[in-house]
Amino acid sequence: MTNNSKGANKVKTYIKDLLTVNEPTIQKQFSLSPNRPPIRRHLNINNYQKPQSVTPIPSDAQDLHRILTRKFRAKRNPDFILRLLSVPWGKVSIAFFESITNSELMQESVIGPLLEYSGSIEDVTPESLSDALTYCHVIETVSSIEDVVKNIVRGMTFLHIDGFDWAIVVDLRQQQSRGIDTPRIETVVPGPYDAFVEVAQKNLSLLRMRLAIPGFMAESLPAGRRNRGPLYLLYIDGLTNPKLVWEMRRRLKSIDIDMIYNIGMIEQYIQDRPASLFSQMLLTERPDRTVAFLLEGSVAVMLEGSPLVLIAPVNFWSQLHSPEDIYFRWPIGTLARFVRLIGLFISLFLPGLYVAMVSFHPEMIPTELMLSIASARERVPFPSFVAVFFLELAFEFIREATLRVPKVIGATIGIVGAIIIGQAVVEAGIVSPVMIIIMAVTVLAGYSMPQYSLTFSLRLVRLINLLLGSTFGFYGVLLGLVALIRHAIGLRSLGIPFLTPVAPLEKRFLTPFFRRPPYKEEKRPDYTRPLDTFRAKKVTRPWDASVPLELVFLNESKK
Amino acid sequence: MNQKNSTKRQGYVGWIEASICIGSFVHVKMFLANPRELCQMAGTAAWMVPLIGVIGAIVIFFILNHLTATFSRASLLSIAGLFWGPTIQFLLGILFSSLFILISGYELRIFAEFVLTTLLPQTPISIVVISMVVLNIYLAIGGFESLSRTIMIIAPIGLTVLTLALTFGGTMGTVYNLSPWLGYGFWDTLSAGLLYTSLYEEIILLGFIAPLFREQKDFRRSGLATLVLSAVLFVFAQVVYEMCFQIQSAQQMGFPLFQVTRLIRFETFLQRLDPMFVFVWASVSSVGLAVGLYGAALTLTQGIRATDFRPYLIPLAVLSICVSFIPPRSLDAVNTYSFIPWLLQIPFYGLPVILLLWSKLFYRPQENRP
Repeated sequence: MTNNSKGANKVKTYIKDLLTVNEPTIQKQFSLSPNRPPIRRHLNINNYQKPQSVTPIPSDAQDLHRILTRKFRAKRNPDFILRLLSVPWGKVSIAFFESITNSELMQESVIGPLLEYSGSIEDVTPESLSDALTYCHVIETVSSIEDVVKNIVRGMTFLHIDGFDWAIVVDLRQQQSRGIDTPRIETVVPGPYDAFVEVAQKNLSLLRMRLAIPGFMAESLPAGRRNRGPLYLLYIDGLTNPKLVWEMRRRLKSIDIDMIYNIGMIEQYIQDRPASLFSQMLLTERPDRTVAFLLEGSVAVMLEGSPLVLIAPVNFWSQLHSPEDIYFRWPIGTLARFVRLIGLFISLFLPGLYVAMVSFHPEMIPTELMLSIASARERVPFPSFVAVFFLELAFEFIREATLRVPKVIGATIGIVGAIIIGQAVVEAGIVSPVMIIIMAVTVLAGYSMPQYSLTFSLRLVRLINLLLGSTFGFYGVLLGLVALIRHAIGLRSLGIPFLTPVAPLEKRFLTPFFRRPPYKEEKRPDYTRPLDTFRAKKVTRPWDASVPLELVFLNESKK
Repeated sequence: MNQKNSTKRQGYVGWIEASICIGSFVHVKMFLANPRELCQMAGTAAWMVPLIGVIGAIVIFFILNHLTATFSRASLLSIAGLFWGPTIQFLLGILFSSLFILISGYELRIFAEFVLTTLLPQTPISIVVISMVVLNIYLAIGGFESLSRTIMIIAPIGLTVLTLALTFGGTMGTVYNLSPWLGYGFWDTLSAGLLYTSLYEEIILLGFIAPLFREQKDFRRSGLATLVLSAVLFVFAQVVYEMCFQIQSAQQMGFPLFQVTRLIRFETFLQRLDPMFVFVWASVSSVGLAVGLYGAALTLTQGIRATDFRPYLIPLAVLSICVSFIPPRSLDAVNTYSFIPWLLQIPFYGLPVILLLWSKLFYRPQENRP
């Protein structure tokens, strides 16, 4: 190759590199959605931790006691009980944490049967010992010290017979917990009044009480390195799309931290866009709501120690829905959904629009009202933005104070807040009475949202809109509105577009706004892509004279 | 075409979304000075102009449809590259990108002047231009998916408000303002209609996003729906505008549809609704302008055969700001923009026609060659 052609090639390559961002491709190569990241299927999340060493259980009880005493610092830790029990046929070591073990159950179901065991020591096997402990349902054989330690810290009771290199662990746990109570943040008038508590087993019982199907799965997953856990991944096998289950399991397994304190932490680890102001998953304390979502094809996550359940995928509209919408008759449910939609708009835009209107476009307001507003604002030295911001802060302080102070003086805080905000600030000329009305309506609209976390998101967006409205008037609010829609469009819940079925447009796109009568909702939502699409027969009111007979016969013939 | 690589595509666009998205780009001009220009060209028969123009646009669209059907919905620039080589593809990419920037830049300027006139008289124009361009970048950076989904949220509100505004405005007008029915005469109206086929020239963007359609029928539906929807709205707006103002006034009016909304008075809760209408129209326009920016980046990307359009969005947005500041005054921007679309229809409509002719006359697929 000559020097000239080499130089030409260099120039060509340089120009190509300058103008292209990657290897040039041909034909149909641009992506519809550049912000949709590829799924990293090649990552093997199971191989993160180093392989653990295995120490066999010593057959001599003295050696075992020495090891366990050292592991659990037994001398400094009186909660840890390590006891050598002499029975007629041998010596049994028992180890457990006193605080989380039911002593009566231990006496009845372990110590009693061991004392009554009539076989000889030579005949003892894990199976025969399990058969002897008839009251214990969870029995596991362990053969390494690591397994022993893992089980004891989880609250199990450890049993070892002197002379054997195996042991068993039995479940005698006593979970301290409050009883099942009424919901605190998702109250409804008609509907069930039970809510989740901190014990996962109780919560599972609340769900199984409703879901009488063998396919209801509660997969146990580890919850942090130092957490007793576990996490439960809930779904309905044969109904939930396996890809959703796979994706959720993958995300949960990727969490490799010390401790998960609450389910809200998990949400932050696994949601698609953690930087967004909006939560892309749903937290609920209601078993009926959880069951409804599971039956729609979503998956749920439950954590030991958390009274809330995390549900995904969900769409944005489900955060505006309440279980009440279903329990009431459909016209009332539809009205409630519309009211909340209006509440959403008011909560987001009313202060911004008000400031924009009085500051930039007063000509919109009827003359009498404009004069009234102007006379009310006459004594107020601050611009509208400052007044609105002041009221926002005041409402925040009242909310925080009401949460923090003891309940007995909570009412006092409310009265003080009402006097300050309702009367004193107006009389002092800090804000106008109209502004008080605007902010009161806005705050009430915000709290009408059934999802508590949405209220906080709305507040942040409202402040941004307020700033834009007070700077650029309606044009600023417009910028905020379009940017907000664009932001929401880009959100995904477990890979599902957050604004579905409106954007992207799908069938039954009016469902989020109009609640159809339940007897017309024979299909599950499309966005979860359930394996079993239908949840009801086509005709559920065959006795109704308005249902065409042909349809009834067609339905019967399908049986 | 290249079927092996088709698996790299990550999704398809629906025909309704595509129609409304391209429709918003077509409609930006309706909110600006377009109704007045039509009145200047065709007098009282100006409302017929979009109707005549859409016939020409439909013919061009069918050419485009035939071409994309023949080449498995490859983009126009890919087909050009196949016929004439990468150098021509590169040059065409630069050309079309520049043309989209030209349209976006001028529309941006007039839009900013509109905002200043109606909403923010005290604000510097640069603030409005730059803030709108930043929003456009944010909208366009998510690709056509983001644009189409955003407009799917805004469009129902926009269409409702537009219909209400025009209906309320129409009740203030008189139908006799539409007479004489043929304006300056049959031939003048017809020639104006043909000239204003350019009203729909943005439809060419469909030729560049053709690979995003799952099936050819979606492409065809999308194009026809865009044209029909646009024509209906253009005619509706034009009829109402002409009914509300006598033709001599209509030919001089600044921001015509805004003037129509100023006639509406409720006086119960809000006495003037024009800022509210501007608010909604500006929302639709912002997406339309973002589609223009996306079109510019996309054509450049296809021209130079790059894989991603996003790196070009910001440089092209800066260029569109520069273009928007070329006219020294608002009037110059409006005057220049009134004839730019006439010229732009030559390359916009010419490319599919030439490509179809070339494919019929000179191009033989590889397997058919001896």
